[in-house]
Amino acid sequence: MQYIGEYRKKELILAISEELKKISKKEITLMEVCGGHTMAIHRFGLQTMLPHNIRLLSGPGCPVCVSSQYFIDTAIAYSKLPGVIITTYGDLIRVPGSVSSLEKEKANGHDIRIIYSVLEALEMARNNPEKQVIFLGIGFETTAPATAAAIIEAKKEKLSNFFVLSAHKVMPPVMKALVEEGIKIDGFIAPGHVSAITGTAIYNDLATVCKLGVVIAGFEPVDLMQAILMLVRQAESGSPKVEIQYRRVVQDEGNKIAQALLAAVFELKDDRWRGLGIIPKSGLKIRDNFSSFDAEKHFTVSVQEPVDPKGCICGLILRGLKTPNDCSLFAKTCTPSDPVGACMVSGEGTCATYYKYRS
Amino acid sequence: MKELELIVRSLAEEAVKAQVIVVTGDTKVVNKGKCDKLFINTAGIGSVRKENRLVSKARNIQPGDLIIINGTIGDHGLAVMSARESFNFKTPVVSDCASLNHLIRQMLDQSSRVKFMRDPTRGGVATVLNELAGKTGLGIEIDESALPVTRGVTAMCELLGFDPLHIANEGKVLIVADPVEGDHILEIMKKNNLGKQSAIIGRITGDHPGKVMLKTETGGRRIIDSLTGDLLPRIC
Repeated sequence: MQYIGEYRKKELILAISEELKKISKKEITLMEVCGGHTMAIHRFGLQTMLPHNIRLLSGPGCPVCVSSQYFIDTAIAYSKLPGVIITTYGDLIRVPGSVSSLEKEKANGHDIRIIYSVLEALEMARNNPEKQVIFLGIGFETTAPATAAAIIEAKKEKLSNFFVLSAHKVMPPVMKALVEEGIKIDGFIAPGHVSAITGTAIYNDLATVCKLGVVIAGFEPVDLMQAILMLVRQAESGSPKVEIQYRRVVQDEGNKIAQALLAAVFELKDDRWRGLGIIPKSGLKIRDNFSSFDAEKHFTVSVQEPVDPKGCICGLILRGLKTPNDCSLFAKTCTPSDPVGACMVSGEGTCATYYKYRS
Repeated sequence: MKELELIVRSLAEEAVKAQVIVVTGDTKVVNKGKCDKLFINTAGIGSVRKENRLVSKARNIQPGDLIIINGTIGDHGLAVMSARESFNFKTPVVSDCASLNHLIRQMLDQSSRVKFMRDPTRGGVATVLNELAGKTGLGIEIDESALPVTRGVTAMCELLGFDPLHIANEGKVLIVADPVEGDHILEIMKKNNLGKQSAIIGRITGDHPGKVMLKTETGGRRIIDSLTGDLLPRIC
């Protein structure tokens, strides 16, 4: 396929792999914070093409993995209200809440529908005026502008039965929180689609203050290998900086229109991250002037403060401080078909990946 | 009633094609609202020839044996999914539903080196291969660049984050064959309309016992697991 095939060329990948073997001397650890990157690295088997001194670590950038139990519990409580349709991206439905998951509730007969775009939820609201349609908003700066656009459209159309439960998050605060907690990495492979929206400035502090390399990368194997090469060059020459590898999509200033949509609809809030707790100003909350579309304002449900599953060390794994093999639940009570913790939930989670490759 | 006529007609056409006799049938009528559409159950009876009785057993499989499939993978699952879900894009993907009895007969008649056959339906090729690896205790190596996949299926998988190896097929048979007759079997298959795009997609190996390894198009390697739960479109 055009514009994809070019970035999967074996010769190019092998050439970068050779170059890495030649120039990479130091032991370095790089963290990819995006679920899409983790997925691509494993799908194309890129780890097998890197020299042994380069270690890749998966960070908390899978929006599904970091959705809090509280969020899932709230969505489940909404699904039990009469006349409600819950709409969600597919991979969220398997995520465990305190006692159930959306998948189990769907099997119990509650109206939970998988959609591919928030616009489908809008359409559902238009077509079912007697129902109340709630969209579960998850994802980072990449998916949040689409949710914002849907809310603005709903306001324009005066739709009174469309709501959003927002667990949208922003990327930089969690990256900074990890660094401040003392995680040992030399650089970040930063998510290309976040920067397509935000631009590059969000990472300046990481480079200048924390002295970490940041390369904004695309999602094809050549993109990732090139980003790793750029980070290795930075590490070898001791000059950490913010660089863009994903030039065909990312511009320094980002997408101004999407930024305006985000700013119009959302404001920052302290937010819950599964396994990491509450991180200041890391989530997006619907502004008061759009509060009629805010599910949390419209529906009253009682949700207990969730207790972290006993023995689960996902928080430490997400911080790169422990590996799944250190966890007493791993591959015993916690498996991909019956996950306990965040890292086992999505196929891209660290525990799920370890599970797949366990010997 | 129109729908019923259409279905019965295509039933008859397929029975003629497959040279299968429909011997009996029955209908049940239930209360309105208790069954929203038409449901058809069928049961088929056939016989396995003595000399082929091992083809479902996965015995006698050895390192070096070839893995062959009779055409493109993933078409059926994605065709059903795009009909069922409200995707906002149109796809040219059509189901590969077909009766494979003639193709299989031709292979078994002309070669005695077919060691195993299985239909990679729900769970796709990946699930059958994992069962096979588990059963034989041998490893399997699949070559991604040899996998027949249509452009439509590739594009849909890119969009939804699926792996064609996990998607259901209806008109496909996965074969393990002795390498001595690999090319011969492939030739027989390609002569049949339902095997035109047949390909050798991998081989049995003594390495990594019990595991299915994919040699990726880009030169890397990764383990292919069985499908767990349903296929879900992914956010990233």
